[in-house]
Amino acid sequence: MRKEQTLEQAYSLNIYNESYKKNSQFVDKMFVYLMVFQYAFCLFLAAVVSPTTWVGQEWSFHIHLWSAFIFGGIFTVFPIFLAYFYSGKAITRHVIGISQVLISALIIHLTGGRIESHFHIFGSLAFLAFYRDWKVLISASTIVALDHLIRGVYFPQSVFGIITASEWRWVEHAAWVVFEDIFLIYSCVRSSREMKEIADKQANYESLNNRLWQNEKSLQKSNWLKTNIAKLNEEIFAQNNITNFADVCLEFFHFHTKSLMSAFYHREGNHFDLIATQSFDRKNLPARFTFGETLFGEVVKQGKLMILEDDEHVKINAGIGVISPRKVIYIPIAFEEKINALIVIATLENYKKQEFLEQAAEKISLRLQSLMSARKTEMLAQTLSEQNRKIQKSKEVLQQKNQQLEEASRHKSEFLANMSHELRTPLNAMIGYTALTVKTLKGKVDERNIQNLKKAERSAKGLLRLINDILDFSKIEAGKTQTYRRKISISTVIEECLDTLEGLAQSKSIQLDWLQRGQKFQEIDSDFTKLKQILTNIIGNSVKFTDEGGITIDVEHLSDALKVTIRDTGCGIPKDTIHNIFESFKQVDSSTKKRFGGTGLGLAITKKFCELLDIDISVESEENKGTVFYLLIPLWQESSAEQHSVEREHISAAQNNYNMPEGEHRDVAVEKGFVLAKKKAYVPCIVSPQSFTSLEKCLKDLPFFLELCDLQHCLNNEHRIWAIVVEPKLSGIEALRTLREHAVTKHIPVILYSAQDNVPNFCAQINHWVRSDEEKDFLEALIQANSHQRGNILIVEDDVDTAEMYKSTLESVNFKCKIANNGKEALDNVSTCHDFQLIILDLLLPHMDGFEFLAKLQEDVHLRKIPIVIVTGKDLTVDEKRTIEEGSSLLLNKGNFEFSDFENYVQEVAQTFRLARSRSVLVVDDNDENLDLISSLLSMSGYSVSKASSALNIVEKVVRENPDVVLMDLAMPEVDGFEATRKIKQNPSTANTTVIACSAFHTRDFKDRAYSAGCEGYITKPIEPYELIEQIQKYTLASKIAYI
Amino acid sequence: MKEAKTDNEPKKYVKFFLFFFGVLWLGAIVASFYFLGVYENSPGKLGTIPPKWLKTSQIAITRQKPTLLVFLHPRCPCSQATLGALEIIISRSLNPCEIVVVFYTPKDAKKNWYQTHLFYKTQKISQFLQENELSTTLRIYTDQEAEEAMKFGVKISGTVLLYDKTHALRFHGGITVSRGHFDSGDNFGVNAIVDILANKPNKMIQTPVFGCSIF
Repeated sequence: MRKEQTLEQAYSLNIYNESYKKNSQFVDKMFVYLMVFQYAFCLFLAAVVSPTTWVGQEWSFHIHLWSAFIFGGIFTVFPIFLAYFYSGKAITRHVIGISQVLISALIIHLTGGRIESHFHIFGSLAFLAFYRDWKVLISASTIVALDHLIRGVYFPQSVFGIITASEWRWVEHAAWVVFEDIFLIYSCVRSSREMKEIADKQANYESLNNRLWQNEKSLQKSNWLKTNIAKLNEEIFAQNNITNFADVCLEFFHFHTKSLMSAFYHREGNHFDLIATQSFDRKNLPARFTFGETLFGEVVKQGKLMILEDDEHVKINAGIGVISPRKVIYIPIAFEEKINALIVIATLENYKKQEFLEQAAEKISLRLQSLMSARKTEMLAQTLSEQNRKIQKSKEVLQQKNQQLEEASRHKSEFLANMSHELRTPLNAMIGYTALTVKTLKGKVDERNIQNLKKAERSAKGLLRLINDILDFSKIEAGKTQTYRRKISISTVIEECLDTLEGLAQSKSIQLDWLQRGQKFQEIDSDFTKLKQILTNIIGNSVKFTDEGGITIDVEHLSDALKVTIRDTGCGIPKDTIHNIFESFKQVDSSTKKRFGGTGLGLAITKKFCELLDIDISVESEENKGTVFYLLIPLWQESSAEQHSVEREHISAAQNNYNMPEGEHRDVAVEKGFVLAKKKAYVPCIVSPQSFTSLEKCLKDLPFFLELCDLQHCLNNEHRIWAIVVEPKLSGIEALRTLREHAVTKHIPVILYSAQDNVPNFCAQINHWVRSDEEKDFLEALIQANSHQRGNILIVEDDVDTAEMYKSTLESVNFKCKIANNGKEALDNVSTCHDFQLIILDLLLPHMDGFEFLAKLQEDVHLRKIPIVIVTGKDLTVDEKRTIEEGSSLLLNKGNFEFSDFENYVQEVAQTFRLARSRSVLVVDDNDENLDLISSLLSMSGYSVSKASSALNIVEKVVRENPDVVLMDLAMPEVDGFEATRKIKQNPSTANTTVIACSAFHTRDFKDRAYSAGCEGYITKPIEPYELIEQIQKYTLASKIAYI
Repeated sequence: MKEAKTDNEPKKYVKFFLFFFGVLWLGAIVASFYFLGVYENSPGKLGTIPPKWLKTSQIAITRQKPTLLVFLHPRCPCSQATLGALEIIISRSLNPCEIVVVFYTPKDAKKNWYQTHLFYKTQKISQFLQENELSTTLRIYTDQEAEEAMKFGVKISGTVLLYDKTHALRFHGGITVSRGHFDSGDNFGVNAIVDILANKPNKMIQTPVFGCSIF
């Protein structure tokens, strides 16, 4: 900045000087003209005023004329000479100034000293002020003063006109001149200052202008660079081949440097190969060089652009002779300090744009690098492609093998499925007959024979378990195991496991304790069946391997899981084998197998199931002290619901209908046991009045007739009794025993209504036991009480032995059974006789198999209501399960259930699913949303739902649909709910249909109107799903009470 | 740079020549002025002036007032200053006098030879005096072949002779200060004549004359 300022000042001074010089030159020129004029004027003046001098008649030229000619010439010529050759110089100005005043003096002389001619001096001084150099005025004035001084002293009369003038009169003259000089000097100084200011401004302006120009020049240079670099970029990026790329580069440099010869060396490893040339000169251009070799090698070693100038040793063969280039330029092409190429250019031009060359080299290096990378990639791609081809070939081979394996697997699966059926069916018969024989012969033959039969049964069961394990494991290995994860309670799972295993534990006289029994835990995210199997396996193992002490189950909450610890005091696992206990077919040792039996697949299956269910399983054990299994079961998260929703959609129906864990049945337990009823059931109650009041309250609005009576009244009763309710504390044990033994009452179910927590031992004879504070259980017990009422059962089984076994079993519990050997026969049976309460169906049947039979049943409106229990040994696929899920009520796998429970299953289904299949609800609501909501809720709960959006022709609808319950909206247009209900109740064919009012009005008056119209129940809106289902359950049960 | 120096700055010999010619020029100037000074201040030669009015003179004079004879060459440029000085004398004179301006005329000269600007100017002064009826009078006398000038010993144009009433010569010489001067101004000659005419004491009776030769 400072430097710029100094430069600007210097420039300003220069301008000022130039301007000053120009002005001086101009004024010089003016004075030249003036002097020439004055010279002429002097001559003229002399010629006019005093041309001649006379002597009488004789004349001669006046001395003035000579003076004008000679002196005027002297005064004029020299300054003109200076003004011409030495214009603008100070000396010229001063000479001119002096000359000017001298000419003034001459003119004064020539005019004969006329006072007026003295003004010439003042005019001259003023004119000299044009120089704007006050020093000129000083020199001129000095001459004037000197003239006056000298002549005033020596020739005063010549200057003052008188001889008597004072010696100091010249001072007066000089003072007048000085007087003028003051103003003129001031004028000069000021004028000069202004010139300086103008020069400053001009310098400033020109400096600015110069800077702008410099900027513009720089911009132009930059633009030029950018344009040409962009052009280079465009050209080189169009090339995909390094050789072409090199040619383009050389062409580019040739265009810009007018090169005579150029060469492009590309690096290959440690050497550089010549890949492109222009005017190739084999003699002077090596085809290859390495680092440090020749000047080329040195340049690439240094990695810097190098220029050789005017080197006469460098020669180029121009074809017609040899010439020396003016410049040889070596341009190394480097990328990240690695030299990839070298470009050599020889030119006759004095090329100076080194910056341009460097930038071009940078661009070239980038593109070269990308081309090299691309080439490398291409090579890799080729290699990859080759490898891919090989892989593809291998893949094809593998696919072929895979297909073969899949085929083999499919055959294996089919074989296993069929084999499972074929194995399970005779085993099932074996077990069933054995159990039946034991039951039949118990007490009639020697106990040892009974024990032998039981051993046979146990062996058969063991074999069945072995087959089941093998099939399970085979499914796991084949990856065909499906899980149904949902929100379940660990308590339920553990309790069910304990239910199964407690008997075994008791038989071994060991404790089986669950420390947190009765506590509530957070729900877990798991598959009920699989988890139960896991726990059963582990706990079962513990029981199996524990002879003394016991097994404790401990559940504790962790942050995102439940930790289940199963600890036993058994024989433990040796350290050297603990690591492989989860492996297939592994047991601690062969002696263990001998001692405890088992396939060795239990823990392997457990481990696989744990993996499927994201359960962490681990084990700790100390030999002869015990074993501890730890399970970390993930807690239920809401996100889990979404995750499993799809799976649930597919599987839920199947799970609801068959293979459903027993815990799931609890929700519908209250629905069990009743069929159509025409009148109220009589229930004598041998209870205290207080209890009776509670019971009456509990059964209010339900079709039970409760009577408070004593034992004798019951025994003498002529009515058909539904059930007898007994309160032990009132009637005593003896009364109960009497009821069970009396001919009239021994078949009547007895419901023990007790406040005690423990069931008395004699309760083996008691049908139901209800705690007095559990009114809901009482209703359930009451409904279930008549489960001994039996109907007809159709057994569809091709295996005669098995069919007979079922028949024997079911007949032992008062069912009437008929056997059909195939589907076709079964269909004929159900078509001709409509009173089958239940069908037991095997799937693999001759002529018409179970699937087809189910399909046929579904086609018939009446027949499809018959509950079906499928008992099959076939290992069903998912599709098969889906196919049969709509048509059956319960699926029993021949290998997966205790045959001793068979009758219970059948009874349960006979009660529950027959009822379930016959439930239907007609929802009448004018509001579509409500209609859909209620329908959905009911459908989800297993009800058959029909909808009506108005009450018009309601009687016809009820006749047609024959619903068990009509859910009637009261406020509807055209025909309201009251009117519709009245019509239903007034019509004899629909009068028995239960109508439940559904309304948003909560007033007593409204309810009374509903009841008076004939409604049996009243549900208020907005509808609470739980309340709705409860109410519907209550009324549907109530409406189905009947006797078989 | 060398070239620039050559262009912008004079070479040494140029400087030398400049200096040489400068000095020469200054010398010429000094010489010129010196010459002019010398020339201008070099008076003409005075002849022998008769102390008394010559009776042989053809110029008639009066005894009532002094007579001032002014000899002029009608073509002398320096005599312009003499007429100017004469006007001063006329204007300053307290006492009247008769001024006779004697113009040299060659024999057989045509009229326009002597009736020059100087002649007409003299006539104008004369007319002025007459028209204003001033006591000082002026008349022109044409002196053929300089007879009168020769009689009075006057050789230089601009020579003034003052004779008093008694015809005695009281002053002679020039009334200008130098040659070539057309305006005279105060000078010893004018002052002396004015003083004499005013009857004031005057010591200056002779002054140098600057002008052309009449013969």
